[in-house]
Amino acid sequence: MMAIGKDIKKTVLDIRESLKLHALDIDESDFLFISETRTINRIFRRSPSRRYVDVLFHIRWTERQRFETLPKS
Amino acid sequence: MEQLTPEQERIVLECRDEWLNRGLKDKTFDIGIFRKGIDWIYDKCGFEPPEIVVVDSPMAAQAAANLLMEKGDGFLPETMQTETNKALQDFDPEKKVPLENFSPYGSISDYGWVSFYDAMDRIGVNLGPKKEEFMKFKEFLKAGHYDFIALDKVAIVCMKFQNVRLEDDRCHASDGPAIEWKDGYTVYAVHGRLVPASVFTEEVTREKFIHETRVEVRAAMYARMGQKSMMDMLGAKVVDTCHDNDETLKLWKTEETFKDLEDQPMAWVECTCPSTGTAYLLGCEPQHKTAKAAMAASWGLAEEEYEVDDHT
Repeated sequence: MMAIGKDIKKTVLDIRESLKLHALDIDESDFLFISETRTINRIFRRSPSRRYVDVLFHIRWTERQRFETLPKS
Repeated sequence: MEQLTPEQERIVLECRDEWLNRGLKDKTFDIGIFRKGIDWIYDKCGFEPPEIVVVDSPMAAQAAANLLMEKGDGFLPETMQTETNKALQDFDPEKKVPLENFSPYGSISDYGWVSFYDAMDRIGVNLGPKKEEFMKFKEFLKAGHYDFIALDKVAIVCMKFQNVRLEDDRCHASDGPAIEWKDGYTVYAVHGRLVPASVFTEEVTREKFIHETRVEVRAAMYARMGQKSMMDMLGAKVVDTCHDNDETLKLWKTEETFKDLEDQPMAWVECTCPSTGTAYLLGCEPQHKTAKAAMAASWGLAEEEYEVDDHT
């Protein structure tokens, strides 16, 4: 049994990078894209509640620190 | 496209809210959608469709991964879920175990970028030749899982949390766990920073606070107790306050002096992080007479060289 996370990363990253290139080509001048993350913030943080979707990223990031504190064999 | 039309703005926000709702409120898990998505991903990576083991929390996923790695190819697919459930009852997360990495992609942390391209697609942006594959990945996330560990023959899928408490989009609770899973696994966090459970499950004493060297843990103790209780416990009073650039610094000193400190009091400068709202009590030299001087010294500066917002 072996972990295959790196294969999944390569596969999905390939899809993600392709999307970025196409979206950027079309919208760079319109939205002043500097980075994908900044664009997400710019578009999704517009509401008064300031709750953008990357809140889910932060939840997992915070939770995942728990494993950093565990003793590893 | 020069700018978003009102209708496109509406679509973008509608899309955002759909993904937020899926991540924060919707607790359903559709194993049929997961099966379809995981088979597609494994096939893209050159692997056969995996067995699926379902667990309730990230820690349970680690326990399951340990069990399955230990058994190697000796497991029986038909009893795997039952065996895993049994093993979880005896799993001790504090003992040394090999930790398996969760899959880098395919969890709730992908909701941000996926929702972005979902919104772009809905307002008519051409996503290019890999759009169809993106759509399959998007559908996979809609299964409703939290995360998964990808082994070549087994995918260990973890359910979403039962409860999450947020403040300013960060995990935050000053009176208990910030994230709770169905099986009782919990994570404690203050203003998005992980803190040990003991801050909340054990009594905070003067000794513990004074000897704690990690600033985020002291901040969590402070958040839990509140200013009045904490300063009562320490026997400290504010001796100077500084307001500048919408920020406030306070210099606290104990009334008591200590032999170990050459008959000086203990002193802390209190500041609040403008981005997270966390209040920190930073230990400082007791000879300072102003809050600004104490904070400046922590940066190796003289009082007149320090601007209050420098530490941001």
